[in-house]
Amino acid sequence: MASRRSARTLLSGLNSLRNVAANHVRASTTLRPTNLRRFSLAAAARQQQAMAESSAPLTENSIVEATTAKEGITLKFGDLTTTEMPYVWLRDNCRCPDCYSPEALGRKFLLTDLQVDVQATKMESNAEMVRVEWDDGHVSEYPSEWLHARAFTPTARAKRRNTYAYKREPWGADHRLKEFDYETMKKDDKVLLEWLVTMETQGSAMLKNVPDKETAGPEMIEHIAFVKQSHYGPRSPVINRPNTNNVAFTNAKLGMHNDLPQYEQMPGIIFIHCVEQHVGTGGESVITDGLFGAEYLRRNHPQAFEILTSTDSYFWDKGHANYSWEMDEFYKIARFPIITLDSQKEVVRIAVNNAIRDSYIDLPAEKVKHFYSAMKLFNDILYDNSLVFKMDSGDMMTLDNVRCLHGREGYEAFSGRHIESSYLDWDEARCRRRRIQEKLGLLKTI
Amino acid sequence: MSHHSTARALLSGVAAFRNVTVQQMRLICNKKCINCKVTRPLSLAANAQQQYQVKERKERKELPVPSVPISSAQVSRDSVTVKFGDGRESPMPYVWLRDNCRCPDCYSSEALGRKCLLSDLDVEIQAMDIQSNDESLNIEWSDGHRSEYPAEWLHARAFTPEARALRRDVYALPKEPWGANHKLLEFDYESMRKDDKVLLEWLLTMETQGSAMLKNVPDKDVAGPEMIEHIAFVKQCHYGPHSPVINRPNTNNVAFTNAKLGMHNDLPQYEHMAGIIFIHCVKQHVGTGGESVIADGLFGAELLRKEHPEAFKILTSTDSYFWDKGHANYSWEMEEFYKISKFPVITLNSSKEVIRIAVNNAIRDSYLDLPSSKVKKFYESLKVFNDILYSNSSTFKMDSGDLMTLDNVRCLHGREGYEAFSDRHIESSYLDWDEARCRRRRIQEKLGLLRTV
Repeated sequence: MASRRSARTLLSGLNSLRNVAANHVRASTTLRPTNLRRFSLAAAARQQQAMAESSAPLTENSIVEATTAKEGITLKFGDLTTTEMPYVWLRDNCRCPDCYSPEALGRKFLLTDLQVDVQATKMESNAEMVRVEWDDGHVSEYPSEWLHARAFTPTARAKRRNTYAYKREPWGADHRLKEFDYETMKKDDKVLLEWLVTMETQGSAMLKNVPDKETAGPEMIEHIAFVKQSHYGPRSPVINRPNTNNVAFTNAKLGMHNDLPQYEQMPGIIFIHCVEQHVGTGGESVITDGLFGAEYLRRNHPQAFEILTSTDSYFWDKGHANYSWEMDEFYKIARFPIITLDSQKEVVRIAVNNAIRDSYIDLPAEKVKHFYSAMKLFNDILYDNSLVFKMDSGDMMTLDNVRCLHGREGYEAFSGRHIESSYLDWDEARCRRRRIQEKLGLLKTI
Repeated sequence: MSHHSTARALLSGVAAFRNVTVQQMRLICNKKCINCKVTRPLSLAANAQQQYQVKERKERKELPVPSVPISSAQVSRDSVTVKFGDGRESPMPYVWLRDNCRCPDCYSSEALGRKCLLSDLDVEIQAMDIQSNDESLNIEWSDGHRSEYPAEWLHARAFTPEARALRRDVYALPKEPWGANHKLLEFDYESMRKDDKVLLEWLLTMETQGSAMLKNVPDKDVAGPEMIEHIAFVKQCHYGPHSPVINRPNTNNVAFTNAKLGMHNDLPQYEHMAGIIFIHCVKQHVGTGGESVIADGLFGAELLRKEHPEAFKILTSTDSYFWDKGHANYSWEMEEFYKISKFPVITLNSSKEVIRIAVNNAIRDSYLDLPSSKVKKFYESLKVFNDILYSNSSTFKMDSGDLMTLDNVRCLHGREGYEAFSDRHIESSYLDWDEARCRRRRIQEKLGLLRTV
């Protein structure tokens, strides 16, 4: 059993805490006896002296207590965060140059070489760091700030989750699209960051005063990262095309849908640029939050929710190029549920598209009607919580394309209505968000 | 901000699929500034009016129509049971039939997509009158609509296990797991490029076996991307369209060093992970080191599921973070990047099938979204899986001029370390599965092996 010896000084208002814990760890039975090590008191005292030299004031990251236990080291920090750091995890994440590349920012240590039962033979700490000697002979040192950020506490874990992706805020029929000026967004990273965060949380925004060129969408996307390609090329004129290769490229009414479910890697964000709006009746847009609808379904119609999350749908798209930048011939089939859950049962993707939804259904006949009932129910919920408006020429609506749905009213066949659609992937959007946050000092990477 | 248009400039050779590059897009400007030297072709939309007159649909030879006449149609409450000449028999639910009416109001035969709206579909729709003959089923609906369904169309969509399995194959072929004695099927690079039959063979091999070896690859950095562009288009990431895997100073990724790399797949820091990796050995290390090791992650995962169900449960239900932060080494890489993704080491789909493996010790984050009490068990599971992968792996040394292709969401690869001063030069590039299977279907159609009804 580990013995504990620690010297503790009470916190004073002037932050003059110095804490050294020199611990003796008895070797476990798996180790060779020569690993047993005991400090002499004098040696411990000398060490305490050395450790005490670091005189940085106490901060929230400072280690105020470090004790060894059977499976790991329990740490207490200046902000009272208390956590156990498992030995295996500590050893796995040693930051020495043999184990970790500070230029590549990646682990060099091989999983094959990690012993799950690795034990610490010695542990020392002060306010700024913990130093561990391992039974494999290795020595590791961990900065307190680094440890504090990685505490296995709900708070620290939530913080990292945010860095990864912000929590989405569902919205209903009373939603208003936040507006952004196109040029400002392009010139000012603070505004771009605002848009990125808005897209992560609300999944919807409206860019205004968009330059009157078809490439305005792709240009913004290339400014952020790069355009997501599909067999339709880097962007699509959404007009009433003769000999069209997609129902979207007609003047028909389009029910609530999102784009490209025929791609298992569906585009993350859609940029819907209204180059020219239809004059007269028709061409209105309708949008809805699929996440809101899915959670409503989960709460109020659990059976339908179960069906739509566990039944794979086929989405298909077969055709030929209309333009030279489209793929000559394409035949896509994708297969996944209308509502996709991740390993934590959270909704990560919605796929609704009546044109692209295949006629083939991989179900026994007796389950088909239930499936349609569930789809209809979901469709009704989406429409009940939607908003309708007519975009102006020069508007560009951006939507989280795996979360939100959009539709349009039909319009007369002879129309100047011209929409341009283009796409940006979520991997890139969140990447850009993190880098801008770092650049602006809003995110510190430890 | 780095421009990926320069990346495309690196790709030499003719791309069968013509992309509009960013450069080209930037040139399409409606303004007529006096001093602007940018050439100004027509806008895409105006172009469009001309283009689809020019673009003729290619002639396709018609397959002989198989004979699947309707032999009977039995009416019930919610469906009509159709029996076909070959013995296939299936109830066809009314709601499904009405949803899939092929008349010009309900379905666009040029766009190949449903026009009728889900909002207008009545789940309780009834058939008022049903007529059938050899060739078709004709229904008059309670909403006044009339629909006609060709026999062949119905036959293909029967709700029988057999018909459903056939469609599943068109979507994606079943994977064939392999172990330590696996031999990579070989393909000649040029033949694959010139002959669609060979390309199809490779595509099928990749879908089923997830691994292949291209031989006699031209000695140029862009051989991989050129093949990919021939098939569809290159998958972009912040490393650009292809990566020199060499021992880079001031590197931005542990892979771009001379270190030993444990079994891994590429880019788990992307939730949209690259589907197929092209590992082109431009120049192999002379002397000890640089060997490749590969394993079938699907084989390993299924073994885990059978023999270590607890570890399987942990690895399928625990999200890992994968991260990649850095700066460009080359002009075609993104200037600054910071990727974090979050998903399990083994991802299951809604039917509990393994659809993705993500293993990468360099990219696996130090942050773990677990309570500390669960951490050790997670590592135990990681280790068990790692051992299984290595126990069922094969090791070999690629030759200069070899190009290994792997299903990157299924198979893992690793390499032995090599001496720092080495000419070892690998080029890696990626193709997405959506595109690979798309190309497979189109070639099958072109060769008359797949009939779309």
